[in-house]
Amino acid sequence: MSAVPLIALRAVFGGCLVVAFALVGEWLRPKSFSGLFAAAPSVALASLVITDVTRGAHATWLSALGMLAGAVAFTAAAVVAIDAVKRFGAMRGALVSIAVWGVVAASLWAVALR
Amino acid sequence: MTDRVIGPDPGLPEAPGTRAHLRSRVEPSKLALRFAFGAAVSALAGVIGDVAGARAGGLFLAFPAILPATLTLIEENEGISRAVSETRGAVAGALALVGFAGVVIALVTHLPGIVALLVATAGWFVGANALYFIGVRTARSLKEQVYLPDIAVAEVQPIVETARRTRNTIAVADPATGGVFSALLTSVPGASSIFRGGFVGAAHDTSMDVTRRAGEDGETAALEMAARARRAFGASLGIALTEDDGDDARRGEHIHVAVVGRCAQRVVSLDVNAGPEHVHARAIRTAVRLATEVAEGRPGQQRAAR
Repeated sequence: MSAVPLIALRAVFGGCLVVAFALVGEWLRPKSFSGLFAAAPSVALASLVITDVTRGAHATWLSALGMLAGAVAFTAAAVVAIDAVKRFGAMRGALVSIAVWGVVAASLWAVALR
Repeated sequence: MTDRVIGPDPGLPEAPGTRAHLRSRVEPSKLALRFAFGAAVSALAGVIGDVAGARAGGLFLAFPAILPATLTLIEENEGISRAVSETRGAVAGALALVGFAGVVIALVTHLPGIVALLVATAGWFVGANALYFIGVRTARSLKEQVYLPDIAVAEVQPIVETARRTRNTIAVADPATGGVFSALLTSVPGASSIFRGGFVGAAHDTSMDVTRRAGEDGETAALEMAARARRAFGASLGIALTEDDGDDARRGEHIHVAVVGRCAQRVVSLDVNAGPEHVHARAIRTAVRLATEVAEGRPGQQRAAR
């Protein structure tokens, strides 16, 4: 399959899984599930399925390796977001956390993955 | 100028766990927004993977694209307190995401890919919830102060920050929760610079008595109590949490949350029996939301009563 249709397939599948996880999260929503589904592996699951089907296990393994670093960066971003949201509100706090993700992810890429 | 928003809790969603709550949180426009974010990040990860290799693309599979949309929707519907609480849950989800990646790395070359991914997904779900409960227990064993069911001091910190930033001071009249709201506020580091004082209740023969006069509704009485607290302590924001204290027929049916500021006032009534969340916790979260709106000069949210 050529690149553009494959990208489109990733986009549609990823969007659908994000919605599916969001619905499951809302349906299962006593307080104990608070916030967990903001970090659900919906995009990852969609992309890794397509990668596995089109490129095989080794490519999936490499993608997961990159994802491991991204998830470590996500954890750092979420920790920062707690204080950032308190101080700056939800949107600006989340944007601060995304900036943190970028810095941590870039650092891990430079140190461990390149 | 006064801007009075009244009615049965217009800014908060339906009680969690109900169909109406699910309907209010899964509006098509909100789902479309989430679809758009998910599609964009998936496409981006795919393009980067094609250009720079699988590992580079994989990095973006853990990009926190959904976090801003999720938190802003929660803040809009349930207030900043709930958004703070949800962010703490996101930490547990993110840690479990590390585990998800680890499981895929360990299994994908030994099992069929779909099986490995399903196992990793199930592991994320179990792990995220376990980490969340461990986190809550750890926070409490480290003496994080928690009052009432699931109200951490961190949830009222935003109103302290907002008051400081907007040069407001706060006085509280808190008979409904017995002073717990004041206790939460004063537990926030630095709150003494904005907290002018508060009272828990008043006997009928004191100057702070705001016993509802015959024919007066609970919301008016709550506004009067907030205004009196504001005047008594010389604060710019008065916040009152009161409960029906009229004749026997109405006693205990509602908690009224009122905020009076320099140029605006808000009041909301919460049905004591609506939903599983403890009404005092809802009242405190409502107080934080309303006080933030008044302090920042934002228009109040209003929905048709159901």
